[in-house]
Amino acid sequence: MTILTVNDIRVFISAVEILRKVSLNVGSGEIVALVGRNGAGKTTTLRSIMGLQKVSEGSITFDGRDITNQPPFKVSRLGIGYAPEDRRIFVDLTAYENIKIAIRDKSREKETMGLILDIFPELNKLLNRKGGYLSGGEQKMVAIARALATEPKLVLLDEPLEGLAPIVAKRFYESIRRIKEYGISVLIAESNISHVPKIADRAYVIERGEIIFEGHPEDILSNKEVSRIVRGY
Amino acid sequence: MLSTLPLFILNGLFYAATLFLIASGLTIIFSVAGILNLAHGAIFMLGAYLATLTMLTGDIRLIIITFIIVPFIIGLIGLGIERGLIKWVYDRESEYQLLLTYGLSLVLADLVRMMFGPQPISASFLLRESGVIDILGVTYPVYNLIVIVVALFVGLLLWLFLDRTRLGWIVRACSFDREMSSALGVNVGLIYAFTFFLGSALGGLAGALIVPSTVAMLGMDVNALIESFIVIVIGGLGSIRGAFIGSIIVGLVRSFGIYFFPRYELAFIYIIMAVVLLIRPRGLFGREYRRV
Repeated sequence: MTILTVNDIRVFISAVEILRKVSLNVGSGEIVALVGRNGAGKTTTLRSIMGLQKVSEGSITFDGRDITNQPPFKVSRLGIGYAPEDRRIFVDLTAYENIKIAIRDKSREKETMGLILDIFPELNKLLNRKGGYLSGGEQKMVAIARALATEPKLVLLDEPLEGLAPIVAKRFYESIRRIKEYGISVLIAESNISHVPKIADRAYVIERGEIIFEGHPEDILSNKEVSRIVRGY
Repeated sequence: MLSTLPLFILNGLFYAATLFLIASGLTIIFSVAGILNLAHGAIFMLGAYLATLTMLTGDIRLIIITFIIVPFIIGLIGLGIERGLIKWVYDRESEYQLLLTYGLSLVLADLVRMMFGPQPISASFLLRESGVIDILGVTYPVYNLIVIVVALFVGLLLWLFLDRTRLGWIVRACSFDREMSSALGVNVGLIYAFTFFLGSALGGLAGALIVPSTVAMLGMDVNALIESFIVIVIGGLGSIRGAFIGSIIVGLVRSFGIYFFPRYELAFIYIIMAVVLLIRPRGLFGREYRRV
């Protein structure tokens, strides 16, 4: 069953067309990767879904509802979590406070925290540390944990593996798969093609604001033309 | 000199107490909503004038309730201003916001003149009734001490609210990154409205508290606004701790200045502000704001 449908969206930033009729969908409990080089339009796609970027044409449907150009807080409350590329941690707040502000249903706090700590047990010892004193990898964990705290049906992860040491990236593969085991769909923007087959069930390739490929992640690597575009060489 | 030292300190702290309440309201509105509210001084003045309505009755119970009712009413006025006017200029350049709030301050000042007349209103019943106390050989009004304690108590409550409650964390999150807060399900518009309520209520409380010791008069808004600006520039824009320390500095300097260098008292405060800005351009406790 499809939970998210992006249908022919066009997005302009300062009169420049950034997304050109982008269409994609994410199934329930599926991990979908949106692969592309820097500047290809991955972040803009995620931001448009989240309501952070105005969509000029086309539509976005989530769980049977039209969410095109809805305010971000409404999109979040409908069940989409978002962890941005630059983490955007509130540095003055502790990791716990960062997560807690996203938990709306107080009666389910224990359960939600349980889910988060099951996916990221490392956070247990970081909860009282201020966001500004966390390492890049730890901030990424908090950013994803915060997205999960909104009790989403779908999470949008923007470059969650960027800048991570290989061993830490492997740890994140595991966490992303654990998110799926909880029945939460994942749409992940990724520029490093080598990560994609290890985490995603399906992938789209975006180039200059257009989807140029859809299929199994392994097929990107075997498709020389697409692989060349994504790698840039 | 030594014998009058406690008096200078107490006067400075009394002045700092009201200044802290005004400046914390101004700074909390700025840090969350990003609006430098030039009408905040007029909000303070409105609080002072409204408080005279009950203080002139001489009914002690009514007067005590005033310190709850006036901030609440002024908070509601602030909320109405945010929902009716400010809300429409959040995405505009700061010039529009400044013009709007400046225009608003003129309108509010004229409203006060229309409602209460041009003459200053003295309502010192509470100051007289609360009597005086001897502190280290200095006779000092008990009421002024109460104002200092109330300001400390409000400061403590503000700190507890911002540091220990989920709503306080949300307010701080919005002050740091509105867009991300919104993406986490926070209705940022409502938080702005709440901030205007809270900030205006603090200004209104300062107005109500200061009336028994002084008078409610036209023009008091301008002085209050300028001096609370100095406080938040010294303490750091958006910092409650900065407003606290900044108001103590300004309060004490003003108190000593009136005695030692009365002609240059204000100039000395500006010099301190300039020195702080030269050494720490963000103020003593200011931080960089991410405006998204």
